[in-house]
Amino acid sequence: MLFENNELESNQLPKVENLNFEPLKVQYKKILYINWSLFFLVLPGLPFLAEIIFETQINFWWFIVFYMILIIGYVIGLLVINIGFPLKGFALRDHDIVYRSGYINNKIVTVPFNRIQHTEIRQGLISRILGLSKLKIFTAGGHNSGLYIHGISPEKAEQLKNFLSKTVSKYE
Amino acid sequence: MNNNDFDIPQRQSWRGLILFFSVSLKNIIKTIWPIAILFLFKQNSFDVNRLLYLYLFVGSIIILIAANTVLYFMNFYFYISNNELIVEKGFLKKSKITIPLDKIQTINTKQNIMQQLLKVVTLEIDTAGSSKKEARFISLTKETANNLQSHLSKFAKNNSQQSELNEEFELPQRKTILRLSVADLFKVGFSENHLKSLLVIYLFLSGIYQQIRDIFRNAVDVASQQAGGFIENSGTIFITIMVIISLLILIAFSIFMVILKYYDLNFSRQDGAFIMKSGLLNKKDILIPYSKIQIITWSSNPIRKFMDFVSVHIIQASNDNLNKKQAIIIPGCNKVHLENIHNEIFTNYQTSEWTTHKSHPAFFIRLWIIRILVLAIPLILMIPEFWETYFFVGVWVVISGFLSYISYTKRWLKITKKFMQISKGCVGQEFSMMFNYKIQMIKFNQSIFQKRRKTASISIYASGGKKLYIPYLQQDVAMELYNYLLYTTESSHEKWM
Repeated sequence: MLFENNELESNQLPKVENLNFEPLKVQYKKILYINWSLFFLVLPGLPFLAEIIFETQINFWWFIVFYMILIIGYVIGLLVINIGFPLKGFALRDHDIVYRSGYINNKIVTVPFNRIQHTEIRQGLISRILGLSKLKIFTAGGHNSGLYIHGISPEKAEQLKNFLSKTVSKYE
Repeated sequence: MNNNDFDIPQRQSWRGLILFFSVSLKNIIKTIWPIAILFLFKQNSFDVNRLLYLYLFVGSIIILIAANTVLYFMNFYFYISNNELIVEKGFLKKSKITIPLDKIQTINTKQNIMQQLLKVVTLEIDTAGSSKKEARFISLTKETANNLQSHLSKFAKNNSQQSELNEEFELPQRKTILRLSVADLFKVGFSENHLKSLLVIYLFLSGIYQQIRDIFRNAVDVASQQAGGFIENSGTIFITIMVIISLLILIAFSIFMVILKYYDLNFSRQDGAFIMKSGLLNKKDILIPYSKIQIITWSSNPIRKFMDFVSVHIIQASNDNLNKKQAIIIPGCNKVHLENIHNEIFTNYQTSEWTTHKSHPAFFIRLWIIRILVLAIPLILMIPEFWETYFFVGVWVVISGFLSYISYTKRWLKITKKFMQISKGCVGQEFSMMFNYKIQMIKFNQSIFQKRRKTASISIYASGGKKLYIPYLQQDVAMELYNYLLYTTESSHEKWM
């Protein structure tokens, strides 16, 4: 119990955990795969770099061990993306917008409509090819206090943006 | 307010003409310095003719700037009409800035040394809204500035706090909450975090050292050899003395900086706003309307706890960019001062029912593990061959366990229906208090490790760039907190700034 003495029964509060989240577009999973792969493209070079910097010869078996770990790590990463993807999604409620993500680290972020400062639609190069957009919702809360909805269609992003700016103007 | 009727357009104080002049001069120098340097170094010999040209050139520029200054000054007017502050300026390109009085957020005055001599002040007016609409006067007489400030803040208040107007309608009177004497500032400076100033001094000295070394390379080599021999000879005594001297320097430096910044600090309230005045060379006068305050943070360390005072940070709302300037620091508050500040903002906070929530012990374990790993992994990887390494790691395991346990006990959340209070710290302790409805965004965070133990963390984002983190609450409490804060924020009709 959050409060010991409560007029408003806490079980009457609108609950964010029981929401039905609208899933992201499947193409977005490709972007996650690509990002993860890009990260791993750099790593195989590390032992060679170490050899050059420390001017030593690394044992052949260490190379094998390193690449085995690398491959296992890569595969686990792909699996985690796969398991986590259905958990990602967003939801609109009467007074706020919610975004949920992550399997290893489950996050639920909410911005009340009456705290939105402005919104922005972003599209990277790969996203454009895959037909995806990102909607950024900013508050006055500083550097990282934005809610970013990844992996939605450009039409959906536009639609959401219009809806939000209409709703936000009501609060002013 | 007899001679300061703001209905009539008026100019700034003529005493500041020299200030306008220096501002234009600075701007001109900024734009033409590359040309000037070319002009100076292009020719090898300075013959008389060229010197004459140079004098003529510089002279004409100075005359131009002077003319520009006078024209700028003559054409700069400000006045209030229809509840708007209007600033007109420019003579070739005229511009007019209109600021609705109810949009004014803060009015600050400042005074540097030159302005102190000329007996004028800078007055800055900051407004709400993302569009940058601001006014700045660099040369107002103190009298005008004060009148304008009280005139404007009255309007600003009409807007946000109508209910309180009836009670305090008479004269807006200032009530001092806190005044700091030089002795108080000594205490504050003495108890500062000296590690920070150590870094500043170190960077400063190493910069100087580099330069000196380049100049007197040989001399320094000889001297350092001698010093090296000296250190070897007199060993521990020398090191002890060096440590004590550097500590003394640090403390003196801290005290000096604190006095420079907070000299003659006067923190007071005038209906619906705090006013802070301080500074030795650069005098500052800052007005903070209550409605703009987002979080009040107060922190102490063991020395300050012993001397019974805390340092209070008042975090204000900011538009887009948040920098450190948004937090106003009032050092050297004792319990009574702190209570006074709290009573102003958080009415009846003491009588309301606080419920306390502590972090789960798993938070202690996580802190401990991270603190061990941060030191142990690099150490063991880098110098694995000495037994001392493992001994040191062992000692660190014990110390970090102790520190983590303290950190864990100092982490808590206290909440009422209206406010919440969060504590954290290890050696010192920091408390933050805010209105529940002033959150901007909220984040629920649960790792798979936390899921197993049914705990979760909450991050609260407020305006002014402060993020409050409440780690390892019980899952249902975290979820309830999350839902409740959203509910209060969304159902509240009060303005968050």
